[in-house]
Amino acid sequence: MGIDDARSMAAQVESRTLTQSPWLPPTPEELVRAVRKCLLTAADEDILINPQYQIHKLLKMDKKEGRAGSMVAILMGGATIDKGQETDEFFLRRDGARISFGVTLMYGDGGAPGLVSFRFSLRFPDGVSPRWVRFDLNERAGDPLLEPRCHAHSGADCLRIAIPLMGPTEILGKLLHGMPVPGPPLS
Amino acid sequence: MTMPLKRLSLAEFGLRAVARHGKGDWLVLAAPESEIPTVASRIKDEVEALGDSPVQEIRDPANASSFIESVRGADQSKLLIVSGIEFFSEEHWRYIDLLRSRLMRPQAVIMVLSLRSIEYMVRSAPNLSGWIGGSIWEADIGSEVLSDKERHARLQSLREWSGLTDEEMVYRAERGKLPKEPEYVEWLVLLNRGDLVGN
Repeated sequence: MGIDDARSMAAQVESRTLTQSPWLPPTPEELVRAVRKCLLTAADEDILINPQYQIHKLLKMDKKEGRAGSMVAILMGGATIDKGQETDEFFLRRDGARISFGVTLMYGDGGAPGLVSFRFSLRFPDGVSPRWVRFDLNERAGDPLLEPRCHAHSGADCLRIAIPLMGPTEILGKLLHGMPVPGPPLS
Repeated sequence: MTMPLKRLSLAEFGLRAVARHGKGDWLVLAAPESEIPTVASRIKDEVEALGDSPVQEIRDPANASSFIESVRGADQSKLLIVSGIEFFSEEHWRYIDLLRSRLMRPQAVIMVLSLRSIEYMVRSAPNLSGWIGGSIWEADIGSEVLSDKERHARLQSLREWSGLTDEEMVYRAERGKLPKEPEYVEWLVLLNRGDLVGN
C-alpha cells in the first residue's frame, strides 16, 4: 500500500467517524448540569476524590456571540493546560490519575448544538507509561492520515489515532471508569 | 438579616436540597427580588438534573391562606419550590406561623425569598423560622460563569503554552492560519472573538 492509498482510506475513516454526531443537551446550561452530575456521581462512587464544592468550583462555562447570529459556548473543567504542574485545578481520581477538559460548542439560530472542538486530558501518576492520554476534536480537518479531526493521543503529541466522535459525557465516562493506570514501563 | 449568609451556587444548593430529600426539611435561598423567578426555575432544573427527586413548583399564591393550601395540596412525594411570595407582609407571615402545623409534609420545601422577606419571616414567624434553623443561604447566581480573574488566568496560561500574544493569535485566526488544536478555539472565545470560531 502506498501513502496515497493510506491517506485515502484514512479520509474514509474520518468521514465515517464524523458523520454521526452524538446527542447534546439543547443548552449550554444543561450540558454543564449533565457533566456536573457525571463528576459528582464519580465522587459519590469514590472514583474521584475531589470534595463536592471543588467539583462545582472547577466546572466553568462561558458564552459569546458567534458568527451570523450563532452563540459559542465553552465548558471548562479544570486547568487549560496539563503539563504536570502541581496545582489543585484538576479532577483527581482515587488511583492518582487526573482529568481536565475543555469543550467548545456552537448553537445556531434555533438549530441543534454542534461540537466545534474539545480536549479531554488524562494524566497518570509518575512512573507509568504512557504518562498521559488525550482525546481531541480539532476545529478543522487536517491531513486525515496524520491529524484526523477527532483523535486520541497516547503519551505523544505527534501520534494521533482516529476515534469516533463522542459527546462530553461519553468521553468522561471513559476517562473516569475505562482508563486504568497502566503498569510501570518494561525495563 | 444582620448575619451574612453563606453564598452557594444554585447547583450546590440543589445538591443540598436533594441530600435532604424525604426529610420534610425547609430550606430558604435568598435572591435579589428581580431574580427570584429565574432562580426558582434554575433550582428546579438543578434538582431534576440530579435525578430521583420529582419537583413541584408553587408560584405566586394569592395570599397566605392560598400558600398554606397549596403546600397542603401538593403531591406529598415531591420536593416543593415556592416563589412569588414577596408581597407577604408581616401579618401574612404571622398567619402562616399560627397554622404552621398544616405545612408539615414528608418532602423538603425550598422557599426562594428576598432578604427583606426573610427578615419579615424571621421576625413574624418564629416557629417556622425554627424549622428552617440555619438552612438559609444566599444564591451565588453567576458562580459557574467564568469570572474576569479566571479568564485572565486562562489567557495567561494559553500565552505561555503557545508562545503567542493575543494579537498574534487573532491575526492568524483572521487569516485562517491558526493551528488546529482545540486550545486555540477556547482562546478565541475567551477573547470574545466567537466570530472567528468555525471560520
